Amino acid sequence: MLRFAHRVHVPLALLLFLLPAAPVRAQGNYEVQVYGAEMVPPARTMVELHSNFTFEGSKTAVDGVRPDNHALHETIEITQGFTSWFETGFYVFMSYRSGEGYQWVGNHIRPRVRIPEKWHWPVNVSLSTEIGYQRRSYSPDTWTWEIRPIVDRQLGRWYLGFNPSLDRSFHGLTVGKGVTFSPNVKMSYDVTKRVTLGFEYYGALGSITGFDPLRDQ
Amino acid sequence: MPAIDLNLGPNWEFNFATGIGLTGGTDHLLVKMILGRRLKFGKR
Repeated sequence: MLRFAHRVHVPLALLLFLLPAAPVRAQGNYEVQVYGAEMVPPARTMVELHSNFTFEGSKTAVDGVRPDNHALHETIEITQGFTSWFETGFYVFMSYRSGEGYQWVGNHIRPRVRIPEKWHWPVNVSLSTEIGYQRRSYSPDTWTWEIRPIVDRQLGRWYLGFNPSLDRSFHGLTVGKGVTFSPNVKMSYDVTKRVTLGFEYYGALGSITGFDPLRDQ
Repeated sequence: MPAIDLNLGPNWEFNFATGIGLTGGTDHLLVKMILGRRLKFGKR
């Protein structure tokens, strides 16, 4: 029975893997990640390098933001675990483009809490908040704030994650939009003990009081 | 974005994905990779 289920689910996971990709604009292409509820354990430090290369992006400045065609965005994320339910992450955003060299883009700080595992909720629930600055030449908004609920669940070999994020700009072009909605979703399947295939979706739908037209999302 | 995660051990994280923007407001083609390492400093 298990073998049969595996035979059905692996092609499904491959199908997910081969699905056309979805809108990409998470955190301005510096931090493209669907957050899981799992935390860095107390007294541990997680060091991550996010490397994002834009093969086909903007070739001219858009809204005062430098073009990102053939830009390499490197983000160093350092997360410190404090308790089993509280951690804090710190980000350094950088951009590299031919002719510009490496440029510092900005910094964010991200405290996060979660419902303790010992409460045995049917799904894992966490709440992240992120605030920080990005240079105007690299982002239409400089000071921004994000609050990101995180809900996820491992169901056998399947993993489902959902981040219905809310964003707010304090300085920049989208201040007038107020709070905007950016849902992120991840679905994946453990094909083997070492390999997991899946699909990630990153949306930026616009203001919660009225979504942007599809072409602008 | 189609994505692959590799389980390289309890202290490692690896994620790779390719994304194609479907609307005019997104980048058209982007590749991303996340490499993470858990560290422990000092004694507990």
